[in-house]
Amino acid sequence: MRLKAILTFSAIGLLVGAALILYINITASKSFSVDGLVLNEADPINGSYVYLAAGCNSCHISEEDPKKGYLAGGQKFETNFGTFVAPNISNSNLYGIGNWDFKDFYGAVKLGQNPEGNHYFPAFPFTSYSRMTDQDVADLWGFWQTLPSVDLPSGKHEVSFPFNIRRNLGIWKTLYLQDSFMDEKNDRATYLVEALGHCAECHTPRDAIGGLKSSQWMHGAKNPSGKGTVPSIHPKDLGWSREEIVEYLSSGFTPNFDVVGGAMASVIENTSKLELSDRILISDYLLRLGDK
Amino acid sequence: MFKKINLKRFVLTFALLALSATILLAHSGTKDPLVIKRMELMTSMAENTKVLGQMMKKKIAFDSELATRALREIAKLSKATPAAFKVAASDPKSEAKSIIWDEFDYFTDLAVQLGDSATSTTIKNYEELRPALMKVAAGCKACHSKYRE
Repeated sequence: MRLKAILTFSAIGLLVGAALILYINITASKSFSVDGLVLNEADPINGSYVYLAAGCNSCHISEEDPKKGYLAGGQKFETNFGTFVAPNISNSNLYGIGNWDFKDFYGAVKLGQNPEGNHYFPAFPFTSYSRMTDQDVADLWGFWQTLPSVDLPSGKHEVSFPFNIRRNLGIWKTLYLQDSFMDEKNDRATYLVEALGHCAECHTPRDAIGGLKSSQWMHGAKNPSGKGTVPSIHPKDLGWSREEIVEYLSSGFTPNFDVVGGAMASVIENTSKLELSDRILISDYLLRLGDK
Repeated sequence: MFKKINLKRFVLTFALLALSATILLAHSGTKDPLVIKRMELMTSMAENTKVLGQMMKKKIAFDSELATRALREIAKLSKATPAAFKVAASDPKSEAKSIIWDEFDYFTDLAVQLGDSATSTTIKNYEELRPALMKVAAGCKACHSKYRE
């Protein structure tokens, strides 16, 4: 009888230990190096283009920043998991990322983790940015060095338990962070939409723990704030022509000449400054979603 | 792959349980007359913008007089916008953000600016259409980006 109890407790102990080891492994941040990356010298001009296409300012622009547009953060994003506050990512040494080096930046953009090894919440769309080329990340970092610093403190996220435990995001990343693209063509159009533009982050519905439902890619989603919806941009729902999508990305006019609003307005502000050829590619990507 | 699927199922179940207390509010279809009036005003604005847009796309023939009339109508509607929004009315169907009534002076400024811009713009030939339309778009966007869902 006693032997049976000892064996039972030992088995439970082993299971708990194994589960703990598994948890620690899965939830740990990634150790990585940028030394082995094959990179050309950073090109800030291309970096400024990547900055536009990736829409960094759309979320990190600050209303309180008197200069406007310099990534001081502060915008709030209400979700089912709590309210996320875009942090100051300007070059401020005190409040921003002025003390970072390229490795820190690379870890944030490509791996979704901060220099201390803590996971970012996926309100920051690193699942899309992780598909960015190393050279574009380097060029973006080169451009970043030309941006001013804004000394405004970041706000605190208001995320409820258990979602506030950053370590658990390691599990989330195991499930959802991947390098591969959804679109098999994997061309510049794919890159613009899936990596830089991160369109799916808003236009694809999410499951109960915030992962994108890939089976409903670009089919629209509930607005995370709880009010209304983010429209489907799948061609079967959208029904716009190539010319009409390009016009929307250029001026914000829908085919009915309604004008873009809400969060999409700043996206259009950025896409309107991209090369026309890239706006056409984005349009082509969306239209070919209907081929599947 | 095997490990991932099991893990996903586990985390999903956990999250579903954690979120089970979340109350989903179903939007009812209430129809506030004030909101309807606002929506009609915005629709009229879009219809007049569409006249300019269709001319630009050459779906209708260029007509300087018609284009100018559409612009003046946009100006009139813009200047009527603050009055239409003066009373804070909300409706599930409405896309207006409540911040409008926190920042009503600025909201008014933006509407007046669009009105002034549309009043001072002229369209004498086809080449002047797109720049005029872009000015209207900029005015609409300035307001929509801040005050529309």
